[in-house]
Amino acid sequence: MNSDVLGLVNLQAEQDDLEALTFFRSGGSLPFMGRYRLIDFTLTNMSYSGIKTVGVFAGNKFRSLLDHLSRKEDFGFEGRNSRVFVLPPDWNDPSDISEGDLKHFHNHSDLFARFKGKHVLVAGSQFITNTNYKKAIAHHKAQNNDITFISERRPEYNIPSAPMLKLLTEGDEITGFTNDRENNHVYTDVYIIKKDVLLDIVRTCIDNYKPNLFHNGIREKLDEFRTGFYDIEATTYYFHSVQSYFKNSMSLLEKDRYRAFFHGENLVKTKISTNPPTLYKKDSDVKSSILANGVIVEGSIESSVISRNVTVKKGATVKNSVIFASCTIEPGAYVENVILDKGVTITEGRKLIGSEDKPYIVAKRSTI
Amino acid sequence: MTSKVVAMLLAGGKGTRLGELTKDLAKPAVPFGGKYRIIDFTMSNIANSEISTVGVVVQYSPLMLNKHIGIGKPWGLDRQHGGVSVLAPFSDREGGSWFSGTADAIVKNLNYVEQYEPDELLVLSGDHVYQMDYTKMLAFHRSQDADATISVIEVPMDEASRFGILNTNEDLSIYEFDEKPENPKNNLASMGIYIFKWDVIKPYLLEDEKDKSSDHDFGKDIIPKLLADEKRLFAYKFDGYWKDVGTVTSYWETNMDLLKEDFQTLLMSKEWATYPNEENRPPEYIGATAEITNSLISSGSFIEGRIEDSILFIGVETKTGSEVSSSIILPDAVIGENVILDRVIVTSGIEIPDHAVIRSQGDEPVVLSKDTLEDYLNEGGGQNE
Repeated sequence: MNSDVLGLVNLQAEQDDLEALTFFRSGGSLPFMGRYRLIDFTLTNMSYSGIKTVGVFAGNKFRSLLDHLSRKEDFGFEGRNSRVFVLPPDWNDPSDISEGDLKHFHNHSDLFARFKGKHVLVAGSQFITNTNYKKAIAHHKAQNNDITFISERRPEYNIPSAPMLKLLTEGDEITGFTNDRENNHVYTDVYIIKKDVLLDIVRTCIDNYKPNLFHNGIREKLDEFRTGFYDIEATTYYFHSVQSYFKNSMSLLEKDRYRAFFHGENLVKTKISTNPPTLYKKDSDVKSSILANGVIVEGSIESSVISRNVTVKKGATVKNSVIFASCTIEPGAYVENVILDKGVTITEGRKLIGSEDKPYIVAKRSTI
Repeated sequence: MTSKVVAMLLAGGKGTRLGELTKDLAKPAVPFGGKYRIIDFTMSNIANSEISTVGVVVQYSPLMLNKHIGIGKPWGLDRQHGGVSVLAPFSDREGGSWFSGTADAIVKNLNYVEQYEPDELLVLSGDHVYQMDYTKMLAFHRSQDADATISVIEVPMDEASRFGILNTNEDLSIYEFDEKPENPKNNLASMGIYIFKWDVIKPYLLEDEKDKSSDHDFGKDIIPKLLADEKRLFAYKFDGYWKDVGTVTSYWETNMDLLKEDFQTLLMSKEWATYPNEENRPPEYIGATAEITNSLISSGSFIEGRIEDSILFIGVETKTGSEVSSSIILPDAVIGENVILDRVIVTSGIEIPDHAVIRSQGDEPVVLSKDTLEDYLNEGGGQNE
């Protein structure tokens, strides 16, 4: 049990660089692999870590998030003693001088005040993995660290670029963060911190008009804390551009990788909704793809991610693409290397081809 | 419909003719249509008709059924007033006994119904596949000021002798109930769906309970008595798909119907959705060697090989070189490499070894369960055919 650890998903601190995909939604509610949203992985990992109480700092564009998180039980937060608080901007304190994501920490300070436990696990949504943090939390407690940064050793050919930071270490201590491309000790944007230490940092930042809890309060003052790191060994994905989003989707279409990631130790949890099984009609031809329920296929699909309630009509072709929920590909249409946002219709005979490095994005609910 | 209706859903049947499928499972809980159980159709009709008080009467092997129904969340029945109650046989200060007929199942739960002081009692069955708006039947019942209304469906005349036939006057009032008549006068078959005025039916139920010679069955015992007393009985014509999933063959046929263009609304309708008790599984993975035609496939599956005219439930894996046709694969079954299945029902969690060849020879589809798999493997030539 880790009910003495508060989970905090800080979406407010995240960079918004997923172009059209996040024009109208927060990065956390970005759909991924047919039925999930990025925040699902963060929440699932917290729930499998034994965390019972979670706060979600939602800065803006949180409409889809509120709907998505409306039933905490769907994400494994079951029972009377578990809670998920989605906390949108709510600034009522006339004496408030806080800035940036400190505004959330200040105005939602009740979250911390009411929580009886001693530690907080802070995560974002632009890094996903399917694991739990039980060992990391145990390590954090055993080392009596103020802050433990969750990290991983990446193979040298596969080091995520900025804004993902890398750790500089001396023994067990963290001496700094770097954007060095050669450094493979990647910081996952997840850390475990003593609650008292966190609240001290919050106060100091606010008193000094600092806008960023992590950069101003932690990164610039590392030597004031007892720090450490914990390397996780799990498959991980980072989302810092449309390219990485597309690449991650395509990478998970490899059968063994998909099985290992989604059918491994933990089942990733998400909002439960009801759709009929996928219907493959007489002329359908589907290969190397994943399809969510409620999909009706008459055409061809290859190496693609097909979300709920998509219809691919007769003679239509979908190749190397990511199709969000409720899209319709009409007869004879052809799409390749595209990302179709929710509810897009590709009309009869239309041809749409992006490139592997630069997939073509079609905005929500448009007809082309 | 705001007036007080209590629905009693009879889900205690054993379904003997479903053989291996109901060996340790109540018939209404038998998996159906990829991610559903048979009872989901009736539960969804209740949900869509906005009937808010339902007693689900269970008896035979109810473990899975109890868990499935739970507090009725998938069907919006987790309510502060009414909602769903699972009603199992019980004992009280006067003793206890099993439910021994459709009417008996209601009488033994009289206290359950009475607490809501309903105007009408709606009696439903948990093993039919259909989509029906009960509010329309209720409106008809009220407009006729009927004491009892029985839902009927027109069946082909040459099949009428297999059903309970209702003989009606021109205004659809019923003058006779013919249980499996040799020479049917009519083709209106009872669907086993009844609406009764509660204050009318209650004394009949109590009277029937005392009658030691009675089978305590609505069709056989209660309806004839109501007719003898010249109560107002009406037939309500239902026009749509309706199947009683009674035998292995009809189970197979009804599943196959879901693949037909005409009947796809049974699962796909947005206006009258069918709600399963959904599991959280990843989207299915369709592999590089898959060839799928006219089939339903559900989440959590990994598909390779050729799948034709088949229904695959959640968590099924089919391996390369296999050919599955006209078959039903229940949850979490694994079909090995180069397996051939034709008109076969594979029960939950069964693993079919590589190279097995199993084709149904007779009229009835083959059911592969833990207990029958070995026999079929040997008989069918198994590995070497």
